[in-house]
Amino acid sequence: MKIFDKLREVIEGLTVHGQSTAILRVKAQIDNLFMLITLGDMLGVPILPPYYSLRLMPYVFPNIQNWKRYMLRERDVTDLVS
Amino acid sequence: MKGLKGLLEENPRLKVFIYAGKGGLGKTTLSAATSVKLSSLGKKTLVFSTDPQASLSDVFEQNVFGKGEVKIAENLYVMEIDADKRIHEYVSSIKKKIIDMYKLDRLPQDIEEYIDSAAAEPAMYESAVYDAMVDVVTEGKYDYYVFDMPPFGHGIRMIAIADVISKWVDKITELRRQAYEYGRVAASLKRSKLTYEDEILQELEYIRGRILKFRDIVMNTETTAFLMVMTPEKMTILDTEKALEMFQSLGLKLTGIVVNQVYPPELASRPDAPSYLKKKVEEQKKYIAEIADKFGKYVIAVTPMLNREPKGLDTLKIVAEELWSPKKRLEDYI
Amino acid sequence: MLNTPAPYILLGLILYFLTYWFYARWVDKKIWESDPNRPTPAKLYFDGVEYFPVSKYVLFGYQFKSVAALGPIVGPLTAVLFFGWVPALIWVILGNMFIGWVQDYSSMMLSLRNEGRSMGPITYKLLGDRVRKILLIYLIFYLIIITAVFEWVIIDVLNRVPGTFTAVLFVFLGGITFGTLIFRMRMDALLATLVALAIVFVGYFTVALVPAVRVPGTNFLDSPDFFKAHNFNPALTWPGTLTVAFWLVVLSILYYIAAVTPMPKFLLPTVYVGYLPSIIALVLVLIAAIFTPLTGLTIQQTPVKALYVDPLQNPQGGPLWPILFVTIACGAISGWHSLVSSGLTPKQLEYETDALPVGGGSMMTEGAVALSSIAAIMVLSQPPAGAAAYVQGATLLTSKLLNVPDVYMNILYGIFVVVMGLITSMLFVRVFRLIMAELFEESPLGNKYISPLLILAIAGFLAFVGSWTNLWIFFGGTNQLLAGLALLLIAVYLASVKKPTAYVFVPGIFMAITTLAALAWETYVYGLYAYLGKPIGVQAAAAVLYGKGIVTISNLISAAFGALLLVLGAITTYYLITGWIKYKRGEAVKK
Repeated sequence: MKIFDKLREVIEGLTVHGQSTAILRVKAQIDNLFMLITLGDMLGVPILPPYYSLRLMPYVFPNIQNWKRYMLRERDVTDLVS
Repeated sequence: MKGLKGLLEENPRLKVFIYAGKGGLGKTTLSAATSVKLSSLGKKTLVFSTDPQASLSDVFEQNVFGKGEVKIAENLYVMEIDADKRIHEYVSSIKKKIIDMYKLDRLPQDIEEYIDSAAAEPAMYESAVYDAMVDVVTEGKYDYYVFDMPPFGHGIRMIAIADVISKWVDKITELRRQAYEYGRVAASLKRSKLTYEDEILQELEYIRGRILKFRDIVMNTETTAFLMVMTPEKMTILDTEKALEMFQSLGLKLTGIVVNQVYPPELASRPDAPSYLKKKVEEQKKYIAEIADKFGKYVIAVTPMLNREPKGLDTLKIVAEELWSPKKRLEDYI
Repeated sequence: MLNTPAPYILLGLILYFLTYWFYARWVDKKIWESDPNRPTPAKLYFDGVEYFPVSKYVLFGYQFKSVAALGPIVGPLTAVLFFGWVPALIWVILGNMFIGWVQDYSSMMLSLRNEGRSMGPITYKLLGDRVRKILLIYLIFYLIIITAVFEWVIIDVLNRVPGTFTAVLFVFLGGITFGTLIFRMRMDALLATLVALAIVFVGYFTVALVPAVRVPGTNFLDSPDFFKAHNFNPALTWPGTLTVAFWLVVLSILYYIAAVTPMPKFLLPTVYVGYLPSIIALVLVLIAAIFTPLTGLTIQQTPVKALYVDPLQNPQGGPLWPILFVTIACGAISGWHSLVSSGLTPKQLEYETDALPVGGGSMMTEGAVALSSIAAIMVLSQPPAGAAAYVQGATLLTSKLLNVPDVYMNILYGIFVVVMGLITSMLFVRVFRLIMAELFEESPLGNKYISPLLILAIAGFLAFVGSWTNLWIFFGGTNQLLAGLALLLIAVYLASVKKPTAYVFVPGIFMAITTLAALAWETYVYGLYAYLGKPIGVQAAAAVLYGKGIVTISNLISAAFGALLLVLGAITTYYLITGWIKYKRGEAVKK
């Protein structure tokens, strides 16, 4: 990697990375809610009739694995410090 | 009793006739008879049923199960859908879509299991039928639609909560938009672009549309007549009472009741009638009296117990006449 | 040449480099055996939100930003003023060589090897629930003290560098604008940044060029007669004055808003915009320190002052050991870093071998910042007491380097100190709120709107009536104790997986003992003054305004905090040592 690129990345870390991660965390919570509402019957919480929520399946498919992992991960107060 | 004719006179805009209630009471026969009569008025009519026992095929003496819209007579079309096949095709298409979109070899096991188990639920069966109904009505090819509904399960509650579902879709759409905004900002900060259009929003709109449309078809008293079939028997009366309660709780208005499988009352006075038959007719009078008392205002027609199997266009025409314009009054049967 | 700060700074930098190249890399390879082929949590637990691999350059920047605070700025200057620049320099250099990077790097590896978990769960796993709870309680008090100390530092600068507040307001305006532009107006981030920076520049140049805008002035709410009557220097900041009260209220409101609003909307954009000029300030002062032979600035401070300062003469004093070591807080080692290093960063390391440059590297960079701080004080002949001394020193260094009038650099460094202080303080209040919510789930104390009020009230009181240098030493003590505890925890882990522990255990014990001693000392000093009913140093003004009673109360509270932290710290140290022994022996530790 060229020096300029390395420097650019360091600056990215200094300025933007923290913000973008925090935003992604908020987005994950919203996505969470969405997943619950639409595919909730996967967890036993039916809201939309499954006949129709199945239509959404292809679009949320890539997130399902990540969603499950994110939901089930233990979280401690010290996780939120940084 | 006003009969179907009276219903149409009162409300000429009626297009959809729904026969609901338990099976075994002659719903299919009466739906068929209704469609026969309506088509004879010169209007294009479709009768729609979904019984896996293929009873419409039985009644019309022609195998129409799973064959789409089949023309039986002039202006008369029959559609008996194979709901299981529909569900199977639907589910397969979803699976294929996932595999295609993400270039997989096969679906992950937990996803496949989830889809299969959802497909096996009774609610799925009902939803598939209702969705087919929406399809058919939306196409708008017919002047009249007669629906022989499957017995109501939990799926019918969808109409009571259609508004709630609609609001949920609003909320979900809002959530998706928010999430999209956040994603866009995060991407922008990292100098990259978000490249997906949110197709989910489109799907959500589609879903909302279908649910609301179904609710409208069923609940619109101007265009839809909601009919129940009952027989003069103790169990049926009890069931009908319960059903009425459920309809009220869903906000459904019952348009009319047809009392079916009624023995002609003069049978009791015929000397050569067997005694068990006479007893039956006596009992029947009692029940009809109860029916008149409890549901009198709803009864629009009384159709006879036939002395042969209710099959074939000719027999149906007889029943249709009685259904259309009853010659007797309800009290005459008591 | 030798009479300029430059050679000593360069010596420090060279020694850091050598330590990194030889010692640190040896530890990485031989003790932790970092393996670029072993999958990291970022890959194993990928969730696209927190766990995903990130380039080590980005993480270096992020880690540095997360750990850098006012510590390396203010700590060194205080040490230089008390003990002389030689002891300060030696501690900053040696501390960073053997303890500082050790903690940061090892905390990161600890988390990395434990599925990316953070300090809380790891403590729980190794030593059980009780120790974890003690740690959290300890953190609560730590956060109160650190908030109070930083409040004081910020107020000192706001008060004594007029115009800073106005300039910082423009920074906030820039931050809010940035947030609105990228969210509501959906503007491109780069463009929005330029707009925000433009706003900051407008503020900066307005304040630098227009004297009338440099308001409010020093001690603007108090009459000059008050200062004259009691022989208080009106150019300094005095606890208890109306001006201080005013600034405390302003800060508290700010912190409260930051603690209860969602981060991406207010706190983060402000941090982002404020950080941009801060980076420039940091880089400039380091370069200026190295170039002092060219700019002709020479060392004005005494190399070695007293080795022991009688607390009754000068309450900020004490014996060189342990006081020096806790006066310079984050410059050499900081416990806060262990929390950060086991937070987000380890979840995003792409390769195990990245931990050293990211964790160790950023700590050494922080060491460089501390070195430049020392340089900034070294060149001042008459440094004013308090944090504003740094602003003065840095101004001197950089204005000579760039050949610009003082006022420009003055404002820049004023902004720098205030923004850095604000950024971290807003985070502290937020973390306090989160820990309270965890510890006091059901009661109103855990309520997200009430707990910030709690910390703001207590910290505010301490800042209002307290003696800031003693608070600073307190902060140093608690911070370094946390570091000692972290080091011992890492030793416990290494013992549990049968790896050699000396390289962390020895520094850990050293830090633990030093800081426990420092805390004991400070508790003694506070207690002494409370018992004697005397105000400590700058508390004199508060004593005059509100009577000795309130000063005594403040000192008593501080003494109580000190004692509490001492006890908690001692207990935790005990558990850590026994845990280490047990794991060393091969026994499992009962939960």
